[in-house]
Amino acid sequence: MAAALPGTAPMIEVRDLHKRFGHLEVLRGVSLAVQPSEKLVVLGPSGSGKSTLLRLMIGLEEPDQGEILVEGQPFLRREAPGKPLQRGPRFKSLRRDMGMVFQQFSLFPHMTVLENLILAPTKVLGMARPEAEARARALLAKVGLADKLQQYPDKLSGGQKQRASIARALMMEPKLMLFDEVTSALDPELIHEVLRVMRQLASEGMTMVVVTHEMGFASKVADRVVFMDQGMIVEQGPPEQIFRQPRERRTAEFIEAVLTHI
Amino acid sequence: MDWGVALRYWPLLAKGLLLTFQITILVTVLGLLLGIVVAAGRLARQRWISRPVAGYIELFRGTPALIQLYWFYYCLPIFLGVRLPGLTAIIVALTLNVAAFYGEALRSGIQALPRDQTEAADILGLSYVQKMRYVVIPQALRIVVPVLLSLTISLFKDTSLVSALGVADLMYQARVVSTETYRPIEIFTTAALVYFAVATPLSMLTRRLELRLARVNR
Repeated sequence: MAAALPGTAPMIEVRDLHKRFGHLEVLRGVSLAVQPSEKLVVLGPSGSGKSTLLRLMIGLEEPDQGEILVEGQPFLRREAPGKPLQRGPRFKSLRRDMGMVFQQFSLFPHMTVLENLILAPTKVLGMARPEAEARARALLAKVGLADKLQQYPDKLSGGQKQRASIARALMMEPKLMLFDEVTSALDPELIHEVLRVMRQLASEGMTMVVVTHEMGFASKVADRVVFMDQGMIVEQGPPEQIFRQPRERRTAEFIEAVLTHI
Repeated sequence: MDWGVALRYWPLLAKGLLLTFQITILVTVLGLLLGIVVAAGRLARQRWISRPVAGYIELFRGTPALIQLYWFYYCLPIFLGVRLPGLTAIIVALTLNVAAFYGEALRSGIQALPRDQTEAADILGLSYVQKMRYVVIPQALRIVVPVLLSLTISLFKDTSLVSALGVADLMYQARVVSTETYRPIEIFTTAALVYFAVATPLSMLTRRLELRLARVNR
């Protein structure tokens, strides 16, 4: 686990997060801090609240209660259900420090790969087009898509789409990357090419929160694994502990079920 | 039957057709621009925006276009105390009419977009206007292009209503010529064929586009 330096704020911290959709209570008091450069993998059965946690972290969902801090600064806060939601004064710029990649790629289908990549830097950051294109070319080369920059997303394989969408997120030079089951929609033979890019990012020191069922990736890359069930964190620790000597019965059952499935 | 009469009076009919084209194009452009605003207003979270916009849509979709034209031409000046030039009143009325239909079509296109598209735009930091301009509207337009084309074909034919207010479009000129020549069958048949000759290729284009988009979206 990447140890927190004294005096440095966590990259992101969530405190007592609650979220419900109708009658369904999806998160029931989740607290978690991710340190700079830490690689955190979130595991859990479907419906355990993993994806909702990520969506709350980046402000795509609003908490019913709880607080989110990014680099120690207020991002989102609600004192109690029914109370007004408070956005931190730097909500937008803090969100720009985060990138997120979804299971379903989310590339803009009416734009080429290059256009997908340069849209936000040119329109949001005001970067000159040649500079943005140069950065896009470098990033696409890094994810192995140097020859695809003029292609439209529907001409790419699932793995290529996912790598392009990682490159698009990296264009904004985020300090924190959130990955929401990014390999779940891929054919098995395409998964490794996406995981390779994620491993490379991890080795470069990117702070990452990864929701995945890829146990191999989790055990090799994660500094810490969090196991969630029914909207709560059941157990967390280094991957070797979670995978080999889980303390909680639910964790052990889940790990066994996933490994048996593999 | 004397079909030559249509040929002899063709310059007058052509002049009418030109005005029909001009009205159709102007109203289409203005209607599309207003339609985008209408769609955005209809989808606004604030009820004080979405409710009146919904009311406007229902009003213009639920009343005959001819009554709307009459109302803007004859009644509005009484309420406002200002008389709009005839053609202006007609353009305003037709634009408000088609914008209600375009707006609803665009709204359905926007709502058909997968949610992850707008979420990706939000995460990348695009403002609301940038998100609409670069991500939502271009994709929604693609989805609704066939519907918009169909509406435009209807508009092209509905412009014939303006002849009732003395605007010299194709229909008006046909009426003038038929009165002058006592040849209503030849003249109105010719006018109908002209409308048909313009509308049919557009309909075929719409069908082709529908098929192509169905293939792309598969």
